Amino acid sequence: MIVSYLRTVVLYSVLIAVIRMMGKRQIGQMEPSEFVVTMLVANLASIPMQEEGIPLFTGLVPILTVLGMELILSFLSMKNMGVRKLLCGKPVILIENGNILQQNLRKTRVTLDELTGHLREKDILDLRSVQFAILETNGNLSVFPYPKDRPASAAEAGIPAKKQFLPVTIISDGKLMEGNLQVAGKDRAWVDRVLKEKHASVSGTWLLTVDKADHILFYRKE
Amino acid sequence: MGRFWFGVGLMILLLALGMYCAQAVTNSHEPIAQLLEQAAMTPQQEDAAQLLKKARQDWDHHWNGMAILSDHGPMDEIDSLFAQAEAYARQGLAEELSALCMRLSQLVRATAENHSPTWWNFL
Repeated sequence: MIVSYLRTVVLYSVLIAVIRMMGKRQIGQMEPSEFVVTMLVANLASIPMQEEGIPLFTGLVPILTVLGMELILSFLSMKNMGVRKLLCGKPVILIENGNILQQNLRKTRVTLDELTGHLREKDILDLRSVQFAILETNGNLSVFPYPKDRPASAAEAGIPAKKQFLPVTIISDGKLMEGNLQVAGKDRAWVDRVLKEKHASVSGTWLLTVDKADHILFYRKE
Repeated sequence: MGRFWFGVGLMILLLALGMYCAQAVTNSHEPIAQLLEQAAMTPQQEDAAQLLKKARQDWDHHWNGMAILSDHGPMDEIDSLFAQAEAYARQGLAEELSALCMRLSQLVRATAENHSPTWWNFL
């Protein structure tokens, strides 16, 4: 048990270091430590699952050790910039004011084809229209075109935009969500009134949502 | 903050539990290994059989706890060697019994040693 504990501590640290060295392009969507945890936990769980002769403990101890280390490291990286930089790295600018920073491309080992591919995914064909392209710590590329090449927002176009509210689900698949009634500031009488208007019952409703502006979305159960 | 302390607590708990288990395994296995060693060295066949019986009882007593912590393969091997040694004792095969007791002693000691936090186990 102590041996698997110590081994997990070392393997976890080594895996994070290796993933960090592999660079952002290997990760995509996840931070290095999250990727390591996902990879490790899945594999650790499968060994005692498949091998009946191996006690459950040999899988549980490393999984709990990984959990403990992850909780400690995530807290330290939240509190300390140095730890965060060490564990997650820092964003790298690949395009600045329309210029591709070739040195940063080499450093992150992102090829020109990959860069242009990412830009095409964001509907950008002309590299010169990009003011900034930043490779984030999770491997995603954030792209900011020049303001003149960006679609105008409602504010920029001077169009008055409607206010948006988060709809709250009141009935889901024939079940009344009592907790959500309070969140939406409604009561059972309001539900009965709405259902009466729609000539429906709770069990006959597939979806009923309402937002702060009292916009109701109703779907009957088929 | 709560999760951080939970993580720290978990790591300390696992470390303490690991150290306790390693010590418990050594404490339970070493006397068995010594009994088997004595059985191997004893010239009197009856004494050897008694020591073997005592070792088997102790081994069975700790079996469940050990099975929670370690691979069942080597434990099954020790079980079958105990059965073989008992058969030798019944048949009065002193030389075979002595050799088998020595082998068992080594195996029991090695099983315990696999759990100790030594650098060779760690690597």
